[in-house]
Amino acid sequence: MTDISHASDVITAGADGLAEARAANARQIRNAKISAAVRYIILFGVGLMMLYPLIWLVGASFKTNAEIFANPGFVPQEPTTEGYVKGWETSTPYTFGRFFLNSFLIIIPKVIGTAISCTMVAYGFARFDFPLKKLLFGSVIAILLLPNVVTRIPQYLLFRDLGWLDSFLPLWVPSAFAGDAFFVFMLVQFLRAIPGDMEEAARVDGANSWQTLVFIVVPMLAPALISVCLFQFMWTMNDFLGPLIYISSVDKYPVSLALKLSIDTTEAFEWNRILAMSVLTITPALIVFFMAQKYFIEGLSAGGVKG
Amino acid sequence: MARLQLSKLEKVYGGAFKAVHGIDLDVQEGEFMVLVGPSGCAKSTTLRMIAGLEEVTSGEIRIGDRIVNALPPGKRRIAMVFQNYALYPHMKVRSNLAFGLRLAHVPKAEREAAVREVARILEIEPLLDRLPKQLSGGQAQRVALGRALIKKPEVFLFDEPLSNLDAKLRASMRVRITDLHKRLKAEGRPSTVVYVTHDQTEAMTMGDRICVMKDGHIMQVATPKELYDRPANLFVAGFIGSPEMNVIDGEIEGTDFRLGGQVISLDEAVLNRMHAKPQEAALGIRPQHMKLSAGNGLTARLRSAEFMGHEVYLHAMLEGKEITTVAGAAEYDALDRSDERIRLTPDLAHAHIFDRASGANVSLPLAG
Ligand SMILES: Nc1ncnc2c1ncn2[C@@H]1O[C@H](COP(=O)(O)OP(=O)(O)OP(=O)(O)O)[C@@H](O)[C@H]1O
Ligand SMILES: [Mg+2]
Repeated sequence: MTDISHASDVITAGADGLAEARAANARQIRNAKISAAVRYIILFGVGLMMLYPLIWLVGASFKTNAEIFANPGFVPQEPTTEGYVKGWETSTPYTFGRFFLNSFLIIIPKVIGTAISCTMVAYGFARFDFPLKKLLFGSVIAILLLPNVVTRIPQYLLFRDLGWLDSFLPLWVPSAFAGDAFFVFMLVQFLRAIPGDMEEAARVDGANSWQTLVFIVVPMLAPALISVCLFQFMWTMNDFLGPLIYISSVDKYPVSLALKLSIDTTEAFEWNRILAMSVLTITPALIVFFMAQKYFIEGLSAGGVKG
Repeated sequence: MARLQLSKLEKVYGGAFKAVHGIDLDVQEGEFMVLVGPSGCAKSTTLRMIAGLEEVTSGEIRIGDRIVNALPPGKRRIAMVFQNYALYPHMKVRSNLAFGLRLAHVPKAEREAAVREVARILEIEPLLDRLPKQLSGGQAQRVALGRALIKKPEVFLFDEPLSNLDAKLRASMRVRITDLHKRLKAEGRPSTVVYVTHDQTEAMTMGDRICVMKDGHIMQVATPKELYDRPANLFVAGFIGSPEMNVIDGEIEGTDFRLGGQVISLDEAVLNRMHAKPQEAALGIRPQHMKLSAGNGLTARLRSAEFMGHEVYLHAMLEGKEITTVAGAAEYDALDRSDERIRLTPDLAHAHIFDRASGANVSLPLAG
């Protein structure tokens, strides 16, 4: 008898404990929900603040010139595409389409050249031993730390003597020879995080260094390579100084210079045209970024895994 | 189809650290040679030199009648299986298997036939269209094995291929690999194998012969049985066999082996075998050959007993040194444990005498 009553005590005690645990659990869930709500509100607020200029830009590009300065909100009262139509025509003999074409003529060879040359150089640094390797890699890092402006003048003189001024060559060629130390560095770091076993297996399978690079390393490097291409795409699209220095005829201007052109040549600035063209100018980069976002982030973070 | 010979093979890393000290090894055609030794003894280094993945500092590697020192890995007619499989992560299993053939410009139809054949042997047909990340460890290792097999190499190299698998899978893969080796031999294309492991069970069960290494030196090359019965030195004696061989330090005086206050009289069984009589000696005797005895024998103090089922491992202190002996379960039950003292008689027919200075076994009948 005593045994049984004792046992039932334990059961009720257990039930009490259980109810308590359930209450605590419910409390925890509620707290988690509240803190999540707070977190999202803050994030949303800050996000909006950061995006505001962009939203304003898009809104203002549909406003009339008069409204832009009169109305601080970003919703146009009388939406008009006049800015786009007129802006596209530009004040030069060429339409804005010509400038886009020029931009792509600069960007595409440059991106391809960068991807190929930086992969080769990074592969060399990450996987081979050769004399003066430390010194050479040190100089790559040094270039990384060197301010760009320092090399502008000697570079300009060099390209002038080569007779390359007012052509796309000064913009293409350095990239085709792995001139962008940052990308080399990024790919080297990424490669170091990839174990070399697969490449050794490929060598045992009979691949030479080139075949190993093309069939094994490049596919594994793909996320990092996509990041490299994206960066190069965006930086070149936005590059103002390079084309400004080397390109002098208007028919070769990329969009970044063309935008500036419309500010220069119009006395009373047609702000809505400028804004409309600015919106068009950032669109390709945005589209490419969102399409490749997944790989882009993968490439950046994987490169950060221990060296 | 090929014999593998290493002669005076040396490896110096970075101009300073000597990892391999001029080793000689002769692996017969169709032989399964296991390289075994503690971590860092340069098993992988040796294997990688054979594969051509590591440069040879000096010495010669011969496969068949070719000296392969200067050949790239792909031209050595070898295949290698890596510890972590090293499958190409972006290729389906099918392409992983066929990659080597593709590089060798084997026609597509032939390649596919070879893939099917290998997949059938290794039972990986359902996996052919998967990516490596969709495979379990055991499956991945079978694919890695297939990638080696498909090339019909003259020499197979394995670097701890099973150490990432769980115990059960390891046992079944062990059988699979040895079966495969036998099968190739039966089919008339015997393949020479060099298999690196640090697991002595793998070494003892798989190897035709075993090469025991330590610090870049070869300690002994022999069949599993010979290694166990006639270890050439203290290192091999301690490395092979489980539980470990008891090594009891002492002095030899005449026909007596003295340890502390106790004496073992060496009988003809040992004395006739000994080709030297080192002063500072060590007596090596496997736990199985230390018998519990009733009245006489060495006295030791029992410390603990490990029950293993049909037998019991007894750990005891003999003159300040821990020794192990194996007793049958019934024998253990019958043992009088009241005063913690046990009496042990070594079976001298199976005892070894080692020179403590050089570590050499002086009780081995000299070769010949
Ligand atoms: N690339 C290298 N540079 C310098 N020393 C190395 C290099 N690779 C290996 N070593 C050294 O050479 C020795 C042998 O290494 P190895 O990898 O061959 O050992 P192992 O027998 O395979 O060991 P484990 O069982 O741990 O795999 C070790 O002392 C190691 O530190
Ligand atoms: Mg190793």
